[in-house]
Amino acid sequence: MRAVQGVDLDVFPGEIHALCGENGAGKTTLASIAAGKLKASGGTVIARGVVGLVHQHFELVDRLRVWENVVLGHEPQRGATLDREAARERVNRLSKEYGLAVDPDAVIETLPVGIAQRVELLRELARDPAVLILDEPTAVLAPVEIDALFATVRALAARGTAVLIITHKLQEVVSHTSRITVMRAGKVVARLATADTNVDAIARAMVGGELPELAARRETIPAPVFSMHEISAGESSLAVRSAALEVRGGEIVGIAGVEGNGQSALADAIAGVLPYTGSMELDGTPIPPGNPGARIAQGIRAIPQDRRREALVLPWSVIDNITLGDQRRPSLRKGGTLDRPAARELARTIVERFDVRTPSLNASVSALSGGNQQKVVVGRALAHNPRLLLAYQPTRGIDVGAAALVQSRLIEARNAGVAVLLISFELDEVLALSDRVIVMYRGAIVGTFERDAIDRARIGALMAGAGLAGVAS
Amino acid sequence: MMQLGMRGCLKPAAILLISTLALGACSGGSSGSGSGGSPAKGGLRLAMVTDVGGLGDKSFNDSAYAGLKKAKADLGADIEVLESKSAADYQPNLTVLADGGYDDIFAIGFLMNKDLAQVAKNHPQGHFAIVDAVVDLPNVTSITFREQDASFLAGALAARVSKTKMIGFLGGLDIPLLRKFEAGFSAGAHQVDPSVKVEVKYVGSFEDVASGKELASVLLNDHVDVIYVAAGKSGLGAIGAIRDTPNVYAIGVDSDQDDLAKGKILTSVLKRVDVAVFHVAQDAKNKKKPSGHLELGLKDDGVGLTEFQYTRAIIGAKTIAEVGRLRQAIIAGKITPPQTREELQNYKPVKL
Amino acid sequence: MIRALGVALALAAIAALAMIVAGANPIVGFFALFRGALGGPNQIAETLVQTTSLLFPSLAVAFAFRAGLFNIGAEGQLIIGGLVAGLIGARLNVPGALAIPVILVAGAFGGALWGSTAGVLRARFGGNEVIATLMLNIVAALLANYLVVGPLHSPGATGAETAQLPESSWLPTLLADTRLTIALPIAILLAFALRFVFDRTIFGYELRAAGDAPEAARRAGINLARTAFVAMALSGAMAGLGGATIVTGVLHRFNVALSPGYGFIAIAVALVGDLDPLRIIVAAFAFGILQSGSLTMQAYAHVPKDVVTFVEGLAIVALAARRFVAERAKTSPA
Repeated sequence: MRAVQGVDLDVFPGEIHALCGENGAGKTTLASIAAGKLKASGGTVIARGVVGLVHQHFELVDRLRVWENVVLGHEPQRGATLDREAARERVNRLSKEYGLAVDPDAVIETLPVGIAQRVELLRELARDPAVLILDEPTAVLAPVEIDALFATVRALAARGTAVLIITHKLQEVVSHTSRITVMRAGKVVARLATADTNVDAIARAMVGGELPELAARRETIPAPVFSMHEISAGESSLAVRSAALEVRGGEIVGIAGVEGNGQSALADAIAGVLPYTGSMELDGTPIPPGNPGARIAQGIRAIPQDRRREALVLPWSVIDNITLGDQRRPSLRKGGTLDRPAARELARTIVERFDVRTPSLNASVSALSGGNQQKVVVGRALAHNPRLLLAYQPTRGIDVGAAALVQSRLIEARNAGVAVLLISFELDEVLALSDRVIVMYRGAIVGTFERDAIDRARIGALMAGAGLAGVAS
Repeated sequence: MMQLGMRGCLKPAAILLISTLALGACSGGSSGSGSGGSPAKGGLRLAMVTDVGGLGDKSFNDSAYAGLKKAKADLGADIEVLESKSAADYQPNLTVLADGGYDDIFAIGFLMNKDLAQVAKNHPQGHFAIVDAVVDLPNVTSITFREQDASFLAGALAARVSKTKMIGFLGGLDIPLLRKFEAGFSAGAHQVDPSVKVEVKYVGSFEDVASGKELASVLLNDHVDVIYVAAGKSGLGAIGAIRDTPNVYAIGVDSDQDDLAKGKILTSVLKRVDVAVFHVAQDAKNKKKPSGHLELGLKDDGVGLTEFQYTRAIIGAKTIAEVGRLRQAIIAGKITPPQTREELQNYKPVKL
Repeated sequence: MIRALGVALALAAIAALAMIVAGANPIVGFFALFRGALGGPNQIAETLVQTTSLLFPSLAVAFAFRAGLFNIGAEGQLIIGGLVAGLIGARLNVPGALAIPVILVAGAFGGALWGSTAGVLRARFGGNEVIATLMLNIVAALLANYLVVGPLHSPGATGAETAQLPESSWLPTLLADTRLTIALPIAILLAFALRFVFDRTIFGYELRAAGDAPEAARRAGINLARTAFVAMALSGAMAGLGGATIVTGVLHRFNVALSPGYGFIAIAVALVGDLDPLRIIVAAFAFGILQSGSLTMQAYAHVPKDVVTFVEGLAIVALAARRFVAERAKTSPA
């Protein structure tokens, strides 16, 4: 199978061009081919000068300093040795020229992601590229940082650089680009001028049809289910500190925040896989610390952030994955042995209800697409009437159809009285699903908004740290 | 993908195999008969099984092999050596050779006694020999040595050379075989000087160089100035410790170890497994099959001392002459050195 | 199967090269190998003895491996199992019918103790089981030597071994005048039992989960520390049982040199058998042919025993490396 097939794409000097498409549409592959990092089996790439590529996952050496990373591969030399002064000077000059402030002597691993991205950008700009490709540049940035990035990009375009931005955030596309190329399944399916289109039209082109609708939210009478007090867990910059929150049955509480602000530690503490201080209660009884198995038995179920590593046993069959965590449940065992027929029946039900596209129940889950893998994980979490569902980035990296299905199932669970705690870095997702929005910044809860009082701008500001300097709402 | 990769590796592997076999077939003609794989018509055929120490142990496996090689050179014998990887290999190795119709099959080492007995019983028509153990079967020659005789001479020598009148014995394992060395050594020392004290220590292993060195140091700290080292590889550690200490000496064992620390090793007590093996081979050649027990001593050169090549001056002609007289006395049967601790208890120095 | 064949062919080719280097004719060598291993009922029996001695530690290695643990210590566990069996067997004073099970269980228990030591190091202190088991091999050999020579020396024993076990506690043979005993059916039964445990039981399911996806298993409520401990203990028990069968079935005494490295060869056997207990039976037979045939190869083709050791070592390195690379590829992001 080819990731990309027969694609033509032109990007002109001074233009900001968007490349859109669902996960797996072939965007990143195309970018790698354009930048000369992947060899195409056919076709030509013509560029008037160097092609720079800023990756989705930064390709920086964590242990090295900023200036070392920027000059890596084309170091200024004095005789046979590295000319440190010249290198540092070059970084300072670039930094001023493009308005990308950064300390040349800082070590990469100590930098916040937004700054690390600047370093990656500087490294590419040091090669004076005629074409600059940015792969999902805003995935890890707060709204304020996103604005700063686009200011830089516009300045570059104004100097005559051709810019190609790969993104799935359509609002950014509409606000900042001039032309749009939409890909689906390795092929170009639409070429649009930004002025003539809108978010819905781009989305329809990406999906190749109408957008699936979400399940309707029904009126519920929330009742207390889960609460936590003074929870602290994790280390240094990724820790959660003295957090308290409550999730009631029949509501979705959404955590808004940029990745790396303590969400992961919070989720792991609730799942019982990370030691913590503080207390948690489920249905009025304290939850003993540190035993994920007991939590599952009590009805605390999780959709972990890394489904391939934390949720699934990839080489195993769909059936065996569906019983994982419930292998000791009386309905799935016969004494000390597995009840195979019961497991098969359960798997069949979940596959049907969650529309899991799998060649068979015995197929290895590694053969399934990301979306279908996630359906297995969500289906498993909801299979045994959970009390609390912890959903961490439940739609990350899956196609729009699967995402809509997952989101609908979350809403349905809420309608049925499940307490749902949603952690997502996609603010749109949090706002669309949540009955209450909680903002996290540097491990602390810095704001709470009821659904009828959501203030998008204020939430964006809190995500970027405004709550620490000023007064939280 | 994976499937493809595996199919892919099958072909080159097959080609590699076929080409090496072809290569082997071309070169095989010269190497196949190199050491006499095909049975010589009517000739003498001898074989041996090593213990897990294998060839290259600089001890009795090598010594026995030297005897076989001499048989090949002098008697025109076809020879074969099988090495053992574990104790479980002794029996199948002996069986393979027994089925191969050799004239004599040597089991090197007392550890093989039970396995040899089993195989000899199953192959009554074959003939076997075992070193350092007695297997009481009509078709087995048991080869043992009068280690106590040579050790007796070593003890006398040590007692004479010692200034502190404290000498030591360092053994490998505390087993009957090693006690023959120990008892003979002590008796020899007391023969020439009843006031000499003999300190006895065992390493607990033939392979532990570090402990050998440590125990030797302990003895030296106790003012022992001559140590009889009968401890295999462990002994190398002891000899190292002695080499680094002035005015103390070692006595080596089994093979000629005098070169290991020139001038520091008074002499080595030789145990000529090669002589014994050759002896049995000669009998086989002459169609004389001496079943029963062959015990070699000073008289047959089965055991003995090396020639004081580096230490003549240290020992002195007088002592060397005395040791020579003791040797004659043992050969003449005037002295019978003890071979157990019980016999040592009852041993009285003999007036010559 | 195609892979196994490829591996076998490649190893055979390397073995042939090694024989040429050692000055032997590989065709004669291979012929001697197969004649020695399969040339008659006695040869086949001896090959099956080797197969049995390999099968126990191979199942042990596979069992630990399925739980995500690289047990390089089967050799040490086998030695300790044999040691305990030998020490008890030489002293035990009960009727034969009872003696054999007691000795075998004691051996398994000894191996379990040794294996679980590494398990504890891993479970409690997060120590790497590869290094722990490797070191414990050395400790096992030294300890065995020390005990049989020193404090627990049996009267009547010569050298670094125990006295002979009374004939009543020898394992019954399957074929008269051979060393082929009921240890073989016991080992095969064990393989089938393991297959059942892996496929059918909750315990086996949790064990495999811990091995195949430790983080997912942990989040599914599986206690990884306890799993590691139990897996190492049971793995050690299997290797120890193997040692006990060598003592009661083959040598009829414990000797410090009871194994030519069965515990190490077992790693190759387990990997060739793809960690599947039933396929491991076949792989153990193949390696059993090598082990027993190598003796004849020495005798009739003048192939030094080191050639076989060399090829086996190569197989271990190649297969273990391949496995490591595969593990890496599996855990690293695509």
